[in-house]
Amino acid sequence: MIDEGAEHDNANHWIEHAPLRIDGVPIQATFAEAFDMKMTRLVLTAADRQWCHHAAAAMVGFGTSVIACGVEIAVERELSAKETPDGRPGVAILAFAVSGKELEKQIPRRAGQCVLTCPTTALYAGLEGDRNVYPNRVPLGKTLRYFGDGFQISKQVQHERADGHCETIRYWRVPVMDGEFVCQHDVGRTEAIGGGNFILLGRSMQSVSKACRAAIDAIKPMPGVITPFPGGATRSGSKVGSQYAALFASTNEAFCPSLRKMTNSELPAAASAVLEVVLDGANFEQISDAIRAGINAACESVGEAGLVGVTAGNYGGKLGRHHFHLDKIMTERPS
Amino acid sequence: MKEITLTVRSLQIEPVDVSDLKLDQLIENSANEIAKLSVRSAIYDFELGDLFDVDCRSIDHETPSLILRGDCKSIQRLGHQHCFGIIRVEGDIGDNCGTCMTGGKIMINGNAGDQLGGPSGARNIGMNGGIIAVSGSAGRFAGHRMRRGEIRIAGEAGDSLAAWQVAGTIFVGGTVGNHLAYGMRRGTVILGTPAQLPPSRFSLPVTLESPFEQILLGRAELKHDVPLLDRKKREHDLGENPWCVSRGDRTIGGIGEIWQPRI
Repeated sequence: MIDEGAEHDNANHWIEHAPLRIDGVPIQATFAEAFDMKMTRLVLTAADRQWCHHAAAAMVGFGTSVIACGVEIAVERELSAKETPDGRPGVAILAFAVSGKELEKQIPRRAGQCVLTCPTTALYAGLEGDRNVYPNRVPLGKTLRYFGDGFQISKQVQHERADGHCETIRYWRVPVMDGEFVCQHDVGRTEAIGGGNFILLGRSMQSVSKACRAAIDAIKPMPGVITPFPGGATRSGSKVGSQYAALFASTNEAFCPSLRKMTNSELPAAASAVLEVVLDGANFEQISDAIRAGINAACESVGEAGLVGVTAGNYGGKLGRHHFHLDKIMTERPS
Repeated sequence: MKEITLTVRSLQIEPVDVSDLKLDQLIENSANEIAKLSVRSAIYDFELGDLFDVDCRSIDHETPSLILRGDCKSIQRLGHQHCFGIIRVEGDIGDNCGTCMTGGKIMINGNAGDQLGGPSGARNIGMNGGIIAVSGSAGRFAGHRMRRGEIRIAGEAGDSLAAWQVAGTIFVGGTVGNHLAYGMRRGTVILGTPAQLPPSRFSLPVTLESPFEQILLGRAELKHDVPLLDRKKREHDLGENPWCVSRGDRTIGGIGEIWQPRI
């Protein structure tokens, strides 16, 4: 058993003495630790918004964490008909994996089962640039074309961009029962960052939910960033390792209210529910901007009456090379 | 980058083979050096300066260009194996233009002769990349044995358009001659004016329902090159899904496709 008197000392200390407060909510001077990942961007379109949402929901389903899902994947934003290659409503999807090989395995598998199968859909590269720009490619139609059983059609189409640059894009047209499934041959992949985070310490489940939703709403329109967990947040923040050899991640007991009497808890006395927002993004600046927007929105939504404080998850800086220092991010101007 | 302009001096009756003029090589030379380059007809060898006034100047553009001004009907095999840059003809051009080209663009503000984008000599592959755009009409065997790239003909096309086509895309705004897509294996021919297809060689037309239509026909530069294929106009005239598709040439097991307006 932990000494009850000393139990909350550290946690309560930063809450009381935090130099940085937003709407009265203390922000801990700590950092979120994030890792290098590989990323790609896809554009999914359909004849109407409803089919598009169905396909996107299936495509990004079971894509919360690389711990067991293979990829962290979510809708980046909705695209209007003017923003898509085929002039139909669409969505942009961002997918992150720990290795290029894993991304190259997961994306065609999901595209084949979730997009090819959904009526009226088509799938395009969301990262503009050919092999000269993105030499590493994730297959799309390159793999899916075989469903056409020899009736598939390959077309190379030269597109002239607004800057006058011409790019030849290869498409596959696979005959299906509602017409044709159109799919780009492949899509580039690039370096990115996964695992940016901030942790909301709530006075109640109700208040932390409200703060969390406000944060996600603020992050949602931001380009290049996704929050892949359900509703954008997770309650199962994890630490590295486990007492069970088969697991390489397990519950972060330091933030579990039910264990505050048994472990070295990092929870202040007033915190009774904790939610973590995890962010993956194309680059450091975009994740920083999203963390700032999310924390600002969360604090503004419930203030100190709803949040005890905001902190972040890290592993002492030993695992990930990208460190998002909350105090710096919150005092910097948006980029 | 360099822009080279060749202006026809006098009307040349004798066909002249200019297949040795390669834009990627011409840009290394001065106007005088270009004027001294040798081109052949069946009877004579000429210096290019005998046929054209040559002008070279630097332009503020990344891609080089070669411009031919005047009536070039007797100029044959222009743009043979063309791979980079723009060739623009302000007038008519002769036979075998763009044979075996692999990239770049050839723009003809006039009519083109026979074998546009076809093969040359003993080669069995024609155009293999790039774009040819003709504002007028093209002669026989346009796109013969074409394998890749695009041919855009705003006006009419002669007999045997897309004969033995292997792949690639041909757009024709006006009417086409006989033996359309004879021996076609794959590839696409898109017609702005409906044509009668022999049922022995092509499947009966079915309505095209594909988002690819917008990708292919929605491009601004295509609307400019072949105005008759303007998608919005078609949709206005014919409603949604204005295209129907036939597949063939079935006599050789081909699965090429011909798009034409739904009637």
